[in-house]
Amino acid sequence: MSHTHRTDSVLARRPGLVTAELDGELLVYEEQSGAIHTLNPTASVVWSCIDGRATVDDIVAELAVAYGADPRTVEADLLALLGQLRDLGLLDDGTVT
Amino acid sequence: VTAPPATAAPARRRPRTARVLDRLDWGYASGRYRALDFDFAFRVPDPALGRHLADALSPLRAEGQAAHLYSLVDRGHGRRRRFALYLDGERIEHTDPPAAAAAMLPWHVNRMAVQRSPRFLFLHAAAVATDGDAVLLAAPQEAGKTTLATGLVRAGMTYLTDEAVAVEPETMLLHPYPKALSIDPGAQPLFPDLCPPLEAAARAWDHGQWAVDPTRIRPDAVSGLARVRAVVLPAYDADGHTALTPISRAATVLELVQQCFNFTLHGRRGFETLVSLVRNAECYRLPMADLDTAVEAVLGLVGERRRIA
Repeated sequence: MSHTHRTDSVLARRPGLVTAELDGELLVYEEQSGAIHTLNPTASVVWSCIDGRATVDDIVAELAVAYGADPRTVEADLLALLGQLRDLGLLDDGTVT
Repeated sequence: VTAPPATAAPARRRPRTARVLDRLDWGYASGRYRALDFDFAFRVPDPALGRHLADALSPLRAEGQAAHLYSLVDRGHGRRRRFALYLDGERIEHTDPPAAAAAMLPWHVNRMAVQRSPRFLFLHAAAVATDGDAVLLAAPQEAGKTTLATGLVRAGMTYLTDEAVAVEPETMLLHPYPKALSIDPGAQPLFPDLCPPLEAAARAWDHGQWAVDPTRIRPDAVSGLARVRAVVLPAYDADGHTALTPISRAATVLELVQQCFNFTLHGRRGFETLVSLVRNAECYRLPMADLDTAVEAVLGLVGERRRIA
């Protein structure tokens, strides 16, 4: 992971992405580069939470309730995943600071 | 394959080369053929070569006047770049061996079928159908697409293409491009009954690959418009075991993108087309140990779908 997310930062998707859900997996198509990424069902759930309004803390709380999991574990997993999404260029750098 | 501009070039005076070509002696001048949105005729100096090419292109025969004209020029024995292929007076390819010259024209027709039909999303794939329900066989070169498609047509399915599947994004229908089945020497022993006739005078032009008109398998072997019901990714594996192995739809989209001739041209629409294409399709990998078991596997898939329906 090349970037650390503050837990109070608002997360947003990078503009210009087209998504399609197929059997729980999410395909993310970058119009500019033509690249296509696949997100597994867990990553797809996180992706659905990234709406330009929710913070990392908001998403941790939501997922911890939804999965009945320890918020600290959820936060660690979420930050790791966000790092991957950012490395793939799928997050809007302007809001993830 | 890169696509040309979507609009046709304005009418213009024929190039001088075209007028020079008109004055040559042509032993064979064909009628019109249609490869999707590209229509053409051809002329060659040797009548035997003309008949040989006409056989190879016979599934694409059409009525009327052709919009484009190929001319294959033979500059004579011993001349460097002996054969040159022109399209509408512009030289596009050249080669020395006669057999390579004979292969050049059908190869270029395939290329132009894709380039001059930009309304379609093209997949490097074969496709066969039953009652309008298509099975898409997508794979790189040498994976056995044509062999499997030929086996399936012989087993009763209908033929759309063995090379370039044309998907119309607006309707999600596959349009047939029923070019002759290109059967490589390695697969020819599987289909001894399909050996095309080759007249003695045309032997010098024979490049070893059979071009089999699908209607030689069965007069009604060519499919009409069809909708994809299954995507199969075949791969020849002589030491393996033939078995349909399910693959996720998302992974199938990624595989199909790799087999797209003009994905970049369609961009977002291409992506959405591929997603729509697999959304209602069953998707499988198919390692093929031999033709018979592979044909059986795909037929079973079609039969299974029919039972569900």
